[in-house]
Amino acid sequence: MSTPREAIVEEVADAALDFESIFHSHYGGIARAIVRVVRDPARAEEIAVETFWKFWRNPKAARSGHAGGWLYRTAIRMALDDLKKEARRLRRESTEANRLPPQTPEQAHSSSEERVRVRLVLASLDPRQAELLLLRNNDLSYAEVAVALDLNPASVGTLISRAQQAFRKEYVNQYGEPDYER
Amino acid sequence: MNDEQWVNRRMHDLDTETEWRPNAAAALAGLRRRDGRRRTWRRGWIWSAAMTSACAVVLLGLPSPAKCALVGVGCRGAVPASVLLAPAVATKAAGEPAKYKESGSPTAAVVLEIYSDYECPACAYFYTNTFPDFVAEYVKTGKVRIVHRDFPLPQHPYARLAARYANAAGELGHYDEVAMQLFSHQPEWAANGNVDASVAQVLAPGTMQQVRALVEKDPKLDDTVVSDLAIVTKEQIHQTPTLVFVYKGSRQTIDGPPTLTILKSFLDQLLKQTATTP
Repeated sequence: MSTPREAIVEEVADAALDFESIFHSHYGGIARAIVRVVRDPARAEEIAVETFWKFWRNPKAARSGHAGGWLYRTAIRMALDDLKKEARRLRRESTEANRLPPQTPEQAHSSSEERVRVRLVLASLDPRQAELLLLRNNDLSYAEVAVALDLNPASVGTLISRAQQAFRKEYVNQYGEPDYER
Repeated sequence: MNDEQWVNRRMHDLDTETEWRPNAAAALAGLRRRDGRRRTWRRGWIWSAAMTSACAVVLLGLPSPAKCALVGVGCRGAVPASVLLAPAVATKAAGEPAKYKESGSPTAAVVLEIYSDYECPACAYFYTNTFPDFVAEYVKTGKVRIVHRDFPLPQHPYARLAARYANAAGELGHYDEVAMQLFSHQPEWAANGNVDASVAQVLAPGTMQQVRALVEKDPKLDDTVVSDLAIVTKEQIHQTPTLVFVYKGSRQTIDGPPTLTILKSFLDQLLKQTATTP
């Protein structure tokens, strides 16, 4: 039987071990999820580190048993916040992109302008819908998305479907249907 | 193409630049450094908070005009306006103390003026703990001459009455024993204002009767107090006890009750200085 002091030392050591194992399990995925939103890898790593810092400072999240969901949700929210701050600049870039001559489907598909448009639409969506699309896009299952966003698992499919409709509508409103989709 | 396929195709565009590999090792090292900085900052913050709290306790503990109970600090106060506006009734020139308030050699190199209030706890502490040894070592040896100055603070309701008793006893040649009696038994008479009973313990009944008569009827008994308060105002003295060392035309002030060690250290240096300079 350990003394109270030994028990505290063990608990602290366990917590540190848990954090490291969670970090190594999720850091890569979290950072990649963020870079999809913010584009800049250096900035994505900064946000990823900030996410894990919040996690480290939030023992409740660490003990919840849903560390992955918490991390993805926090990371996506922070990334979307960052994206909104960049929205003005993105819009300016997008406007310039609209002045470009029509591209072939291959060109359009690979162009950075398309990514700018997608990000701009995500930034203008309802945050919850943007989070749903991004979490789903990061290969989280419906159950994982439900845990991350504290939703009823039965309604996740419907909510994602609505988010997709909203995204398409917003995209078409802003940029029109892509030529190669017509 | 349905919405799901259409959106997935758009979202897939975001993946095209994800060949990059996040540097987990650098990120973890960064987190550890940050945690270390936070711990350092937290320790610093706790230390600062503790120091601030300690300072606050000390500052809050400083005696205010309404309350002064800290023996080690002293009592702060100002001369009441009524005293300053009173007509100059002093029979002695301002600054010239009553003879009974002086002790020590008239030729001593250093004069120590002690501004005190009979109801001030710090003054009582100084007079009962430090003063006797100081007198034995410096006053009786002719090094220092002492001048007692009355500074009854307005927040002490019986200080002025006590000063009247001490000065009345002084007129009859019993200043030192009454002053010491008042300081050493301060808690008793300060509780109920019965200064008379306390003074009566150290004076013969006949002398006590004379003291009572002076306290009750002598209109000039407060002159020395008024004279001392005029100096208090002029020298901008704000608390009791205040010790003013006068030597070779200079004045140096110690606010609050010094310990005997500090007092001796200060005086020895001062006496050495006065002996070496012409």
